[in-house]
Amino acid sequence: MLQRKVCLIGDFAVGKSSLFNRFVYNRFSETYQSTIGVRVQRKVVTVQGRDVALVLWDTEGGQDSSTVRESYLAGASGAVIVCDLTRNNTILHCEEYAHILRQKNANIPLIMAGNKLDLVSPEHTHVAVARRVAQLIQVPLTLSSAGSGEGVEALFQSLGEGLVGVHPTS
Amino acid sequence: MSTQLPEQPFPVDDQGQHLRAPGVAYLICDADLQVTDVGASGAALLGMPEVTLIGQSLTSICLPLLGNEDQLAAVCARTLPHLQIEQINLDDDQGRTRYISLVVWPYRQAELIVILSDVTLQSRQQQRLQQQHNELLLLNEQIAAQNEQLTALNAELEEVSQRKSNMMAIVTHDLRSPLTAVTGYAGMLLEETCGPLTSDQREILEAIHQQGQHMRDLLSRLLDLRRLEATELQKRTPVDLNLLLMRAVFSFHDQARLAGVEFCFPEDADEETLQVPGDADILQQAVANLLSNAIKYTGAGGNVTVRLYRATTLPALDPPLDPTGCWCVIEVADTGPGIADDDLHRIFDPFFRTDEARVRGPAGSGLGLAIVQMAVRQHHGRVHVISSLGQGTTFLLLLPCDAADAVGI
Repeated sequence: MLQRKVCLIGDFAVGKSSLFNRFVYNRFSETYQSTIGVRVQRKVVTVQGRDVALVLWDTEGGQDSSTVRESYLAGASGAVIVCDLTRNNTILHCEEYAHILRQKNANIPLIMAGNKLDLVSPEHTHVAVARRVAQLIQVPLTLSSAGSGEGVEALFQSLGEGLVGVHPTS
Repeated sequence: MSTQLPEQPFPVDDQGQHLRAPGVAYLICDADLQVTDVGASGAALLGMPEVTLIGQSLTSICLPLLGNEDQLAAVCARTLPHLQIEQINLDDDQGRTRYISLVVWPYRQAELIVILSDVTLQSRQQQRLQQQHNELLLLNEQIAAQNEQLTALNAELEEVSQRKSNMMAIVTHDLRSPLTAVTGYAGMLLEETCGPLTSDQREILEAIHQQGQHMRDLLSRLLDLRRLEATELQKRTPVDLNLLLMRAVFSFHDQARLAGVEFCFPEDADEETLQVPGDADILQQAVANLLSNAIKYTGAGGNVTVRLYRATTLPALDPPLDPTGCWCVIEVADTGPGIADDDLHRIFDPFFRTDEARVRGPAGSGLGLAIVQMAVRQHHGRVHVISSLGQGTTFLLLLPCDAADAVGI
């Protein structure tokens, strides 16, 4: 089976662990608990009848990209750049995360997750900012809510497709 | 959290005997990443029996190494000195998180040794601190966002307030002009310039004239208040307070006499000339409002006393007055009905009138004292009131006579 390391990266409290927990365990907690280090788990997605094992690395977030532990990114085949649609700065920082990831691997498939969609309306200014940033860094954007589960499966499915070259995530 | 690593590959002897010491957690695997040996501590850390680990793939029992096969091969070939992954979260069945760090070293000929360290204690402490730090940052972000919203709201309110003031100025100005005509013509008719009046006609015209005058006064005060609210003091010239008070007393002399009020302005032979930097017209208006109120509310048989002096002791105000400065005091004291304690803090609010004044007092707009306070503030001064029911009221206008921006003093 094809196995690919995928990192979840983004500012603190944007919902990386919540997306991880929703996707891997289908669970969600309202309580914020900051991640220290990294949590690793495997989940299989099927792309065009082919199983792809995503080895998901839920990494700790900081105030911005300067705190990223690059050792966690080593060997990553893809990444989900997560931002919080209620916090503008976290959206703007996505450009820096994409830059760091592309410095390590210029062709790495990336996807941007505009998370906490349940807390903003689709017409909110921040959603428009997220679309603009995604366009700027040439990364597809998926709007998601770990709370409601909306867009979570689609997010990782889309990345899985990018990893096997079906979907243009890179 | 960073582990200090030696520059050389992990120093073990060929037998690996010292690794078997209690507390050292390790796994050894061959070039195909199959586990060939495991220490009891290593098995315990991974939560599996030793025997089940032997022969398994390293990446299957140590998930964070999955996807790092290229780097493991490089370590094995000694082209990469080591591979280190810190603070890996492992959740047990009870949902508790343990933290381990691992370092993979080249070992013997073509083997790898994985040294595992339990860093749960330090990591939990770090997690608690990080949690608090992040929560504070989130709170800061929320406060900053709220501040931004409040600033925008404030700007919006200021604009609305400005528009309201402008509109009021236009309305009051446009109302005043026709009222002047109404009261003027009513006055002419009362003087019988257009022929004699019957008693009924006179009564009606007097009512028109009186109400018109009242409305004009109200509009004038509204305009004055708006003017004081809207602009900073433009001209600051030395204002001779002695002269200002003499004029004010003179202009109210007849009104006091008609009301049966004794009007006192004690003159002191050694009187010092007191000046403040400011606008004489505005100060004149403030004093006039105080005198008008004092005469209106004191009633026949009462006294109104006006004094001017340099303060030797300052009243205790909140915030306090600068005790190093020089303060001129204009004092207007009456023997009127006084003001209830509950009303004292509201008498400077625009349109406020005490219940007593509204029911039994003379007609008024409730703007006079608001104008007084605004005028004094424009001069960096303060108004202090002392009153007790049945005994009268004393207003003190405290004006700085040595303000930093004083002109010609």
